[in-house]
Amino acid sequence: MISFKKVFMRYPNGVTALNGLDLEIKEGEFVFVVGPSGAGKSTLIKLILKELEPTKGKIILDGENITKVHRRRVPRIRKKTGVVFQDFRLLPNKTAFENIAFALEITRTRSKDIKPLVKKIMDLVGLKDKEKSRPNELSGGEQQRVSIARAIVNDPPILICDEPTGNLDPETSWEIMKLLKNINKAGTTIIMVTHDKTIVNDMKQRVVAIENGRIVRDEKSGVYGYDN
Amino acid sequence: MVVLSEMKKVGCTVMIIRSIFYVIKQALVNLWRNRTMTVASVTSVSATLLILGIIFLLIVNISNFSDYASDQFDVVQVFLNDDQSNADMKAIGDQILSIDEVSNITFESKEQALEKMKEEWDEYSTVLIGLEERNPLPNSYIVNIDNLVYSDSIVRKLNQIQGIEMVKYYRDVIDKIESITTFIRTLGLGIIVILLFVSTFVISNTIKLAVTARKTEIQIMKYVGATHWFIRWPFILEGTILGLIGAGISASLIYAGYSQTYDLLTQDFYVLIAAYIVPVSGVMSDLLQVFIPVGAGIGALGSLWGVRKYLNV
Repeated sequence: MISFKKVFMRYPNGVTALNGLDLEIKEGEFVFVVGPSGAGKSTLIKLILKELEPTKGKIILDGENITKVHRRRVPRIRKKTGVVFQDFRLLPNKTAFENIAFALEITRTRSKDIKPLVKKIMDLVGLKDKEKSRPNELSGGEQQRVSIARAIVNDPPILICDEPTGNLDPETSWEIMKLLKNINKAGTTIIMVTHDKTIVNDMKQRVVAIENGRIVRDEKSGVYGYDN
Repeated sequence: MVVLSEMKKVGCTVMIIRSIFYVIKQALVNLWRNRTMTVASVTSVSATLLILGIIFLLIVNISNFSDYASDQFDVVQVFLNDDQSNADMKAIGDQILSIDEVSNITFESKEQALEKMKEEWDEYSTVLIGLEERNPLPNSYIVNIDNLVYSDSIVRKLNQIQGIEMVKYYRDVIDKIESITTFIRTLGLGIIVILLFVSTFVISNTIKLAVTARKTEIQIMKYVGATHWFIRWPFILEGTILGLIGAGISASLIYAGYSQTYDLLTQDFYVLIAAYIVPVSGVMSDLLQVFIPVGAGIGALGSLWGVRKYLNV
């Protein structure tokens, strides 16, 4: 599904973020990406999302070489990925329903299809009665559910989660993890960057540890492996 | 995830139509949601176009006055010596006509000249009574010229003809009027160009603020896979609408102000000045022809500038 082959990423300011990184992620996998700050985790995500182009190496996404592509092709590539952020990034002036529908409007879904699709997805993430609530009327966990619903409503094969539980209490974090696991079971490949030791240790999924722009550990059913 | 796969692929045309609806809806909704910004932008466009319109009107009127004045002065009049027979005068006329660049001539006898003078002097014309007997005014030819460029050489040739007392020509006056007009016109156009830059900049900043406020929205749009143009269009439309509203407001203000001024000037004692002023009906359509594209243009261009920075996510 995703493959990084000897990928180097050097920023214009001279910082080397990725140093010949090799990574293979298969369809339907759930992968935790861990590592200290500045190890290159965010760069990895940005490369998948086509926010950056690597200095060297090759990146393949869903069978398509996305290493160097024309700006015009980027939107099409991005339709293959959904993104969930630590800070939810919901639009404050839109209701939960509108926030999710927004992703469908952008991808030009028929307006009569939008309503049933959003309703079903809200049901799926456990937000049945929150359609009309605005983000400031929702709890952190609920906001993250809206954000997840928005990320998967267009049915992308890959879901990127950048510390999705970073702003949530442990109990809510677990609910979000359960939801992500369910989405993964339905076939979506999930890559999750996290600093949450307990979650990584208890989920028993594949763990990829990055340090200094290289993979230093890749375990099938791994643990967090750092102190914090 | 059976639910999600329900999404159907639709035809390209339908997608485009849907996009157009989306863009229009977004633009209108956003204009309403960012009311303060909308008012600020519209005010800045109106203010710019108002000044632009005033300069435009000044230029139109000065050009009109200049054309009018040039017409008045653009006559070469040849005064003939007094003691000549009709045949001599006819011969002089023929000689004048034989100059290449002269298109035609009109003879004005001393009697006609006196009549004309009486008409011009109007109520004071009584002082001219009695002059019919010993008319001091000379016979003359009024000479029309094909092209004003040749006027100097024609005047030189006319001066060489025997029996001519004097050649009267106001080239200097015309030159002066024309150079002043050109100066004012250039200055006005310069100010207009600067104003256009300034207002585009103001609009782009206003839009930039609007865009900054919607940074997350743009980011999400990009992450979901929206194309640059899909993101841009609502903003461009927004800018265009802002520009057009601004143009409408300033055009109305100018219409009201100009017709008031015109009415005031055409009353009684200003009537002489009013003769040179272009009436409202004569300028409004020209003004709108300038305002509509300029308003829409600075709006759209400002938006393009404003949104550019945030597209490179």
